[in-house]
Amino acid sequence: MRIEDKLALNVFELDKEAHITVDEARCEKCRDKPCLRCCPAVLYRLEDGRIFFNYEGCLECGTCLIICHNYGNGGVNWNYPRGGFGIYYRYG
Amino acid sequence: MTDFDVIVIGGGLAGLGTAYRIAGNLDVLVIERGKTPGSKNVTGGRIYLKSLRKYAPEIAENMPYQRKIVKERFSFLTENEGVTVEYMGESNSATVIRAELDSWLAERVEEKGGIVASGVRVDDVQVEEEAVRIVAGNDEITSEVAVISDGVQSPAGKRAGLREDFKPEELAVGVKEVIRLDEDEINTRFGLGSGEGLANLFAGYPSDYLQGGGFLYTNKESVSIGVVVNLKALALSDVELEQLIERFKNHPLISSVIEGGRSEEYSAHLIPEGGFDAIPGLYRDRILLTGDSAGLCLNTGITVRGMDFALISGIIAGDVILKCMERKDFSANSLSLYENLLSGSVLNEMRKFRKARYFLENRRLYENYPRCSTEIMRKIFDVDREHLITEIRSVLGEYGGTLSAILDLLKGGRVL
Repeated sequence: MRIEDKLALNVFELDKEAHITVDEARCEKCRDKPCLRCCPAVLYRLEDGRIFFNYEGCLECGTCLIICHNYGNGGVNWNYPRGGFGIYYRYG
Repeated sequence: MTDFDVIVIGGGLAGLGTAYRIAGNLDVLVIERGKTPGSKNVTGGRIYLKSLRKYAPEIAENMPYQRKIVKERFSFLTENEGVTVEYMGESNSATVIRAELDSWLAERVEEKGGIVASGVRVDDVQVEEEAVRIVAGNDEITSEVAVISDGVQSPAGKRAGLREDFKPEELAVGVKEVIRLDEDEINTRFGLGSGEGLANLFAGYPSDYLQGGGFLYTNKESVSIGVVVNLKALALSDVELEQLIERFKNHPLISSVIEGGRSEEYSAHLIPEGGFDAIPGLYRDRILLTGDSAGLCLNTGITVRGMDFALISGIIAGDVILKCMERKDFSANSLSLYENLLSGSVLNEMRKFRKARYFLENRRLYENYPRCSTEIMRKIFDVDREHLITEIRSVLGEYGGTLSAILDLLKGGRVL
């Protein structure tokens, strides 16, 4: 099963603004970019050497925050979505 | 005058446990960022009932669960082999769905007169001389005391100055899929009676031989399947997390039991696995920290407990607040009663297994033993073999020697 199909199983209440942003300058200098491998929803992508984060499929686990700040270059600015927005787990 | 006696930040099992204990006695408000309680929460699966029956008998008795676990399996897996041990008998845990369980508990809180405000994210916690001030967007509300139960990342706990982020080695990430199957089909495939459940933990292949493992729990009409990996081990590997669960689902032992099932949800969550040594400060003036936000979770490799600890710590926090309200004293000194009471329960159990975390960092547990146990079993069941002891010695020799295996067994026996 592709990750896109898996995320499509979930219910999301989409906010207009991103709850997680990346600091491009920091990410550019990040050698390993562990966010690419460690995000369970594979929302960090590398395009032309730049890191992009798509907040829309975020499972709100916080793995990227811990991984980035300990093994990356601290480029992830992390928060939960505003109240009522983001992932809506029907099972959990 | 404050707006409420007590504000609880986070309507998971810990926060709702506190509110359940004090609603009806004190004015309590629970603030939950999810649209409904439980909608941001994830479990593997199962809740242990033994200590819950002691501290919260009404909850343990009446809560909505999926199946009572009567079969416990532990499996070592390699790419296409598996060795499983099974225990069948006494049940002391049950599978649950958090969306269902947390909503149920929130309803009980409201019945008793507590208020649960869902869909509100707390942005700041300010401890003042006469009150705690909670900031949520443009709104501010005050209470005499606040209980922080906002989960493993605990933004509120950090705001209140009680904790920092957990370290990668103190965390594991769990990913899970809920796969729908007919109730009868589950009973047949796993050999279960009506209402009976099975729990299966796996070591080796599911986590790509990294610290962690796989799990499978049967719900009423679905199975929960997932993989857990320690964050430090994950970061230092070249493993792609999302691939692990896909590979696990395709393992012959798993694919055969989920065949024809329909995936319903994909979730991920962090688990605080630092044990006793990672527990932050549990209280300060006007603040208590409970559940995952306080790191109250225990992984002994065989049992993983978090939800019962969350509920119990929440209920104990409620007890403490009732006491402190009598004497109108919410100073750190007065609230230290929380740690004393917790020492007799959750903290005691976590202290007992304090060293488990360090033992579980041993890579041999996830790499050597799954490989060597499957190899030994393969040889035992093969007609073309030497005497048993010769075969076992030769396999153990390949994987680091008999002595290190015996030492691991002894060490594990002492700390797990």
